[in-house]
Amino acid sequence: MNRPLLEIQRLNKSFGRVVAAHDIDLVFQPGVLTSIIGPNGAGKSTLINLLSGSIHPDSGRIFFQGREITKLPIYRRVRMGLCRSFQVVNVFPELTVFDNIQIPLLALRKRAHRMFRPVAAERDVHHEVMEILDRVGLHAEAWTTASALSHGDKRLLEVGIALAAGPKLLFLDEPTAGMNPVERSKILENIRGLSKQGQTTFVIVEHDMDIVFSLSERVIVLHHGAVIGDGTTDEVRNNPRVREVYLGEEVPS
Amino acid sequence: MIHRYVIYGLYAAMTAVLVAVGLFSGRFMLYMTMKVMILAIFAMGYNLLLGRTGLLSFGHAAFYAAGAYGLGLVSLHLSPHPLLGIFAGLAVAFIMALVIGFFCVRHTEIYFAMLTLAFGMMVFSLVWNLRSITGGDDGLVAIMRAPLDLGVLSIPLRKANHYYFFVLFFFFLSIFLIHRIRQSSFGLILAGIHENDRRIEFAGLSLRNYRLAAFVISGVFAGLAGTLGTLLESNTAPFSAHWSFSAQPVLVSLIGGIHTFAGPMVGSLIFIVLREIIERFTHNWMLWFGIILLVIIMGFRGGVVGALSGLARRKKTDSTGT
Repeated sequence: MNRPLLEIQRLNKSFGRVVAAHDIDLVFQPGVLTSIIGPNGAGKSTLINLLSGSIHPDSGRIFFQGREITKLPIYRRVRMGLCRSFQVVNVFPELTVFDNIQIPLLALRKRAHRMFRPVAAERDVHHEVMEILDRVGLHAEAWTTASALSHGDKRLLEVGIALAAGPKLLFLDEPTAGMNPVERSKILENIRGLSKQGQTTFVIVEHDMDIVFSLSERVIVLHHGAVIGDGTTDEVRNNPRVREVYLGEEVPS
Repeated sequence: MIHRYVIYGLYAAMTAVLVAVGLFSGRFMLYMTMKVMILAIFAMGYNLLLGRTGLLSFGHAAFYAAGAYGLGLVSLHLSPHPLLGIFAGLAVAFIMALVIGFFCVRHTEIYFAMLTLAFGMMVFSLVWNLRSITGGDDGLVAIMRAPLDLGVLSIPLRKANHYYFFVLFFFFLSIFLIHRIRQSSFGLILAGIHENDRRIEFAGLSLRNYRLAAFVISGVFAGLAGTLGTLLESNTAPFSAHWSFSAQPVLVSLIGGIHTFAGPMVGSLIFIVLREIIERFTHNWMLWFGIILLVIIMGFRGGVVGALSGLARRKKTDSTGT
């Protein structure tokens, strides 16, 4: 069973004259906690948007578990197990935390189309909602309206919604943006724990170098839409090209 | 939330009043009450689309007319059995909503609204011009209210006080079904669409399909209102297909409150009664009616029901000392 989870072949995308993705070839293996880094405008967000289906590539192909998904709409990719969270909080603001988590779970368990059965009767789904709230640490806030949460809790909910869709591969777009240090260590501990459980493979887009190098088994460096470094944290640290364009300023030697 | 028992009490009172009207009222009162109930069915179904998914349709008169003409044609050419006619009307409304919705739900906001308007105009011009089928500007006339033949027993509907209970039954059935839908998983997804439609796709759900489902359901309820209205008047009015008629469920929902369940019902009552009163005093009823609607819509935030339940909530929190 060494089939790659996600495979990207010669992916290209440009916006006008700006090249946001240039001949990107990448393979993601299951269970490897990966980070994608790069300076602002390196094409990190574009890459996530291409993979999750928000935008379509100019050329190139994407395979998820061996099936081509290049042209599939977002919700089909999510159903196959390719999910993402957002950098900007993107929840259902006037619903409770519980319902926020329940919506993707109903979709995952194929209950979302039931029209005449009260949602209150879906008890097995409720159990799973509570499990996820436990995992992200929002158990006590289940009946709070999402818009009333603190910023850090909203970010946790953001990750919770993504987890509730039952992802095999989950892209987290700057999951710690705007968090205080306590919340930050809590969510990182969470990600590490969940990654060890092995149901979900995490790919994290981050700015914070401490997080990247403490957490990941593999680091991918983007620059002007191209991959310039790919390997273990040590390999990337010692990659001369990466040091030149990116780390050079931060880790002089 | 207002106390649950208060709501049960209000619904019990409504039931008692409606039954009493059916038993003891004269023809005019029966007729007006039926008009209110039929408009309420139209608006409640419509509000499943507007209030829950936030899509503003200006084409629902087409589905009302689909129900009306579906029933009318079957009744005149095939069999006057009311249930058969209603079934035919619902089927026509369903198919039409499915086809029109298929094209419209690909777009949102102003584009969606304008597309529904365009389709609505097309349906109206068909109704107006296909004289041999629809009767053109006369509509279909002399539609009988045949007895409701259920095999073992046959209930006459010809008299207003008999037909009244027939409408009442469908009114309650609609309340029950729409309440059920709002409380269901599907209802929660619709609420999610209203809150954040982009995220719905990332939850693994096809936004388009759920919008289409809500569109078709609201179209079928519009069709039901059309069939009941046609049986009430004994003819079909071509102007029920006109886009100006599509404004009625919008106004009614806004008056009552689009984010409440009872809003469209209360809105229908206010709409019909106000209009009836104003029409007696002045020829310029549209002007005065417009002014009063303006005051209601701007004065009551979230509609009459929304504003009142907000007030009740505030009182309750005051009395508990917060």
